[in-house]
Amino acid sequence: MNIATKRHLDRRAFLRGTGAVLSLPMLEAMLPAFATRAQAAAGTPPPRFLAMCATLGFHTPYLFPKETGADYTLTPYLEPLRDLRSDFSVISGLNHEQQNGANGHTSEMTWLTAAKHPGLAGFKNTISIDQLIAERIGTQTRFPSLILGTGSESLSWSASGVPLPAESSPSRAFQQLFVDGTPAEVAAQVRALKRGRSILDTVMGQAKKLRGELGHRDQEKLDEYFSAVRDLEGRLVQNEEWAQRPKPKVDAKPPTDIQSRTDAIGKMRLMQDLVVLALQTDSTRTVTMRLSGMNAVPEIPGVKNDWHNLSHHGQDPAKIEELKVIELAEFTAFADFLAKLKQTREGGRPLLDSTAVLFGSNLGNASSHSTANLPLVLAGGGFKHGRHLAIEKDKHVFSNLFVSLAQRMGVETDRFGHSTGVLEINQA
Amino acid sequence: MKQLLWLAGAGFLGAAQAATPAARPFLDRHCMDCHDAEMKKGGLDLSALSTDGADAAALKKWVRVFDRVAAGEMPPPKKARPAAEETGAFMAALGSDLTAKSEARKGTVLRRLNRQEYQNTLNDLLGVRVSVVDMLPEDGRAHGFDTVGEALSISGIQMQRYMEAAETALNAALMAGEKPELRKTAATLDTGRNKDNIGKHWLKKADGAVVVFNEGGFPSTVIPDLRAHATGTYKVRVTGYGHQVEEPVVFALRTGSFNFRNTDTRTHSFHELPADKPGTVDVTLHLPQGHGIQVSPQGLYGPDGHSAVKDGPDKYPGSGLALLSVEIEGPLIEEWPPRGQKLLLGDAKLREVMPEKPWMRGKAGYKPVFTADSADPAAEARRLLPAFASAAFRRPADAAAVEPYVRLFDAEFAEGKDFLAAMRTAATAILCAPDFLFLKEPSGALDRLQLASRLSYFLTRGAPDAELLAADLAQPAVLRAQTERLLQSPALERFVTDFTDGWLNLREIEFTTPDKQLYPEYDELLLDSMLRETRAFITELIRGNLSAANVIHSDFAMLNARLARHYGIPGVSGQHIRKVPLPPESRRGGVLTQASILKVSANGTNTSPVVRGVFVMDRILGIEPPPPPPGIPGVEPDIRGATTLRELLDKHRDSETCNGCHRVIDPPGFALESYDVIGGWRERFRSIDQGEKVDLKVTGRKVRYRLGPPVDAAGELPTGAKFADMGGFQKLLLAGQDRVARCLLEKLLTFATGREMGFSDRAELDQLTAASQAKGHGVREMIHAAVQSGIFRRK
Repeated sequence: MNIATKRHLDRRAFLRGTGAVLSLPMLEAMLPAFATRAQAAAGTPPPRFLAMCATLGFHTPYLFPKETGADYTLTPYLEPLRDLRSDFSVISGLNHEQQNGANGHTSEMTWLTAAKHPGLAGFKNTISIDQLIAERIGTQTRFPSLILGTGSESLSWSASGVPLPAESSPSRAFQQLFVDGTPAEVAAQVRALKRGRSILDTVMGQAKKLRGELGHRDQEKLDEYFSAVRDLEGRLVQNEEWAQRPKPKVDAKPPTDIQSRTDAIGKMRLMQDLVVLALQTDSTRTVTMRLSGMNAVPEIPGVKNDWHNLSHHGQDPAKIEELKVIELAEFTAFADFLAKLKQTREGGRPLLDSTAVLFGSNLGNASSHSTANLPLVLAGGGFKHGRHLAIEKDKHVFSNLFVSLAQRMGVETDRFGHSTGVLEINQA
Repeated sequence: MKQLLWLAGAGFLGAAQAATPAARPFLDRHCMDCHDAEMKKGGLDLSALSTDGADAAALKKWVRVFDRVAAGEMPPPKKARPAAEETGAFMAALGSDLTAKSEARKGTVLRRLNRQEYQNTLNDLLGVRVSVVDMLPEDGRAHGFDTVGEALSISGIQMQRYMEAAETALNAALMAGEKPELRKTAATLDTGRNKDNIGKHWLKKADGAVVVFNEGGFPSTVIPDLRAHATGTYKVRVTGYGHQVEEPVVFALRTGSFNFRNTDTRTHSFHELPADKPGTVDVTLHLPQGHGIQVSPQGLYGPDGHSAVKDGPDKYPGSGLALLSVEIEGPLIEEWPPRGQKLLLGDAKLREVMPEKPWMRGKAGYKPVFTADSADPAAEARRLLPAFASAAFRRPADAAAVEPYVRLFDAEFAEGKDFLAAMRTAATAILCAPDFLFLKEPSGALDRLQLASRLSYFLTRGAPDAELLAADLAQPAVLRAQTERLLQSPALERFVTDFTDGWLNLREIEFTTPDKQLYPEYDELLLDSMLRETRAFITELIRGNLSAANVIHSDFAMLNARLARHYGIPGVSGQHIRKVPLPPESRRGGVLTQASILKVSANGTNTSPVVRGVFVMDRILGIEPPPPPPGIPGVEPDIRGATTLRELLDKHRDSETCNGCHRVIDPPGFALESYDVIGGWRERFRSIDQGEKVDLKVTGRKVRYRLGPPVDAAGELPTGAKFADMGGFQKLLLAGQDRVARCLLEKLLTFATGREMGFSDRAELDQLTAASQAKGHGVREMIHAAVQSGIFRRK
């Protein structure tokens, strides 16, 4: 895998050097490493990463083909993807270790972090893969990452193990991504950002004073506050620069949020459409989307029972068949999303080729809350696809896949979570 | 044979080298056979277990070692018994080592206000009532509580939300010009908007009442032309009666903006109107500007194949609610201008800034913008900011402490902002400062200001008031008097709600929804009632200083008509909660038989004795069960009705690895098997396809569940004591009620101090329990004792 080196100027160094005021527009020299004019001309788009987790699991007998390798028979959930066969791989046999936690569903907190025993005493989560990526390359886009979810919770966790909230309103996200303010609004925005920074400067000073009065463990806790303030400060600085830069124009109408609490598939589709726009305009390069199940009946034809109830089918065949309807709808929406990514061109190439999409669940069997043998589909990203990759027991852990995905995004690391190695898709 | 190897093997890694020296002989002799690096029985390798006091996880394991030896559980029964003096010496050695380590690590880690505390504090400080809880990310929890400092973290995004929340609250206080006038408005469903509905869906009666036959949906039962013209407290009066019913008709009172998104609709409460003649219901509630009222009847039904639309509303025989009128009066304002305005503007007068386009002002939803000027802004800021900061920081802030905020004001003012805007910026900074967001507690004994904060957040969930801040809380008598004052304040309700949310996990009550087929009798009113029941019960224990033993079993329950019907208790009418005496052989009484606990410890389809057993162990008995060994999959329940979970769990009895923990965990769960997932009494399990049909109707429909295998609620405690049912189990628990009292004390202190109770707290907890026992374990006294304790008065 190519690990890109930073050939562009470090923006902060540039600014320090010139002593310039931060309202300068971005200069060409500061275009990110992966998309300098020259590179763009050569047709090398920047890599993107997207992870989507359906928190109520997938019934794996309907997903995993019996055969391994390239000659596998399509299973019910893969049927919608039949025209995209060479664009995705089904991966079985992967999981994180020691995921038994506070309850049967806490493993969704660690799907992208690999931390152990989610929610049990002493648990502290670690950074999620998307945030790790955002930390390293996030400054290259207006939004370091896009954290989405059909509910208010997300898959993403900060470096200090703090949960990050999800954006659940596509209309709000669209507004932030694509709608420019008027000059007066922009000026007001810049003023507001500067005001915010003054406030943060003031409280930072107070925190420094306070720190001196505290014992060691309290100081460590206060350090979280320091990190938080610095993090926000950094973002305000960035936002100020971006505020003065026009937002990308898109050939799409602003979406209308879905009112119904139970139209899960509608919400999923709407959110996916937004993701296409966000990636196409290079507004961000790493996205997570938490597809929340629900304790209610989803609006899908043929479904009459509570989704959570169905996922805990207790081997009742009627419930499993009804669950299949829901999960097939999810996979159909996913297939349509991949098709859209494939049809969207960037410099002559399908957007899907530069975007690695990980779709699956934190539950291998929702009915027994098992976190083993997770349902996973990896699509796009320029990988060699068209296979059912059955990972042998004890050969790889789920984290190993994240290492290679992170490396592909330009993160210089050979470890992530509890990785025991690197799972290179093309060589597996 | 193994023993010989240890004695002979000089080259081997020392048996229990990791352990503290004085404890080693015992470990070598009685433990290392099974718990060395090779055997690692139960996953425990004592030779590698760190003795570093800073290693919290290892310390926890050593405490477990101590406890299991103390309980005689280890060495296991079939191994040689150590001599009593040997065990005693070991416990003394390990005990004092653990006490020292626990003592060294002890102390609340810098505790941030959780989002509920933050909202309460902000609203009390500024004299407003904004909802910012949902703007902030969910708080981390430890030991069930979201008040534990160590688990409360903060991120960059959270800082941003704090800034936004502060602005929201400050605007609510500052952007308020004239005192809103008191208005009385009455409305009915008989308006132009509903012209088409009357005669088609609804019936208009001679007395003017409009009869509604639908519970929700269409047509909307939001009362037209009835909106709060200004944010505040309102008196609401609903007048009506039941139509074609034999029992009083129940309705839900909901509030919201009822715009097309419907995202802010809240159910406030449930009420009844009489079956025969008109009655009134009076409620006082808070309404944001522009919000309205919806009256939503519950439990209406009619014969199959009929509907108001089909038959015509005048011919339809089903039940309905006849609504005569709904009136609102308000806002009822206690303090004007809002406290925040007085604090931040002083004598400066507000004046409205006209919008660019004057016509905008007339539009609905327009929020007026204000400005304020001061004769001497710099001096005013220097006069007002110290007082504001003192109130915010919960301790006196002098000019020096406030200087950075004053400088911020000066800078903003210099940039051309008006007095109000500059003050608002300084105030936002104060509300984002660590001195506001965190409870500052040094090590050792808390001073009286820190005690004031801790006590106030404990019992009122908000910042200390002036009286509390002025009190000399170092004096036990003063501390007691203030505690008593807070126990009598209306804010105690906040304490009961937040404490039971954590202690009994009531916060998760809606985590699962009961299966409609299996539990057709479940409704929103039952959910609302069961929460009220438990909160009222705990409040009653505090109010009457009743014994903590009532948690196990009580001769009364706090019920309304819905709960009484659910529990099969006659003679209770009306939907308000009241104290009801129970006969001696009642299946109810105590906390464990309350529907809320039974629901929150189950899921929507079935109960698990293990989950309930863990609930009882952890929350009622104060024993933390260890997690299952790694690699053990959950048992998959079989709801086709073929086998009960209990039968599936019989594996626990046979396997030695499982048995050790499960003989302690399972029994309470077995006793509770007599109660289903919504807390109803059952003698047979309900199932979907297998079993006996049931001839019963619920809201006019035949039930579709069947009766499966019988419930077996018998069990055996680890002591060998047997019980045949819940009653028997309760009797056994009552015999050991000291443990329940101790657990409650521990939970109260964890919640109040924001830290875990450690090994070195045990001695004091033992004393507190003994003292409480002498006073009959009265819960009010328990709270007093907790506040007076060294644990509470120290970091």
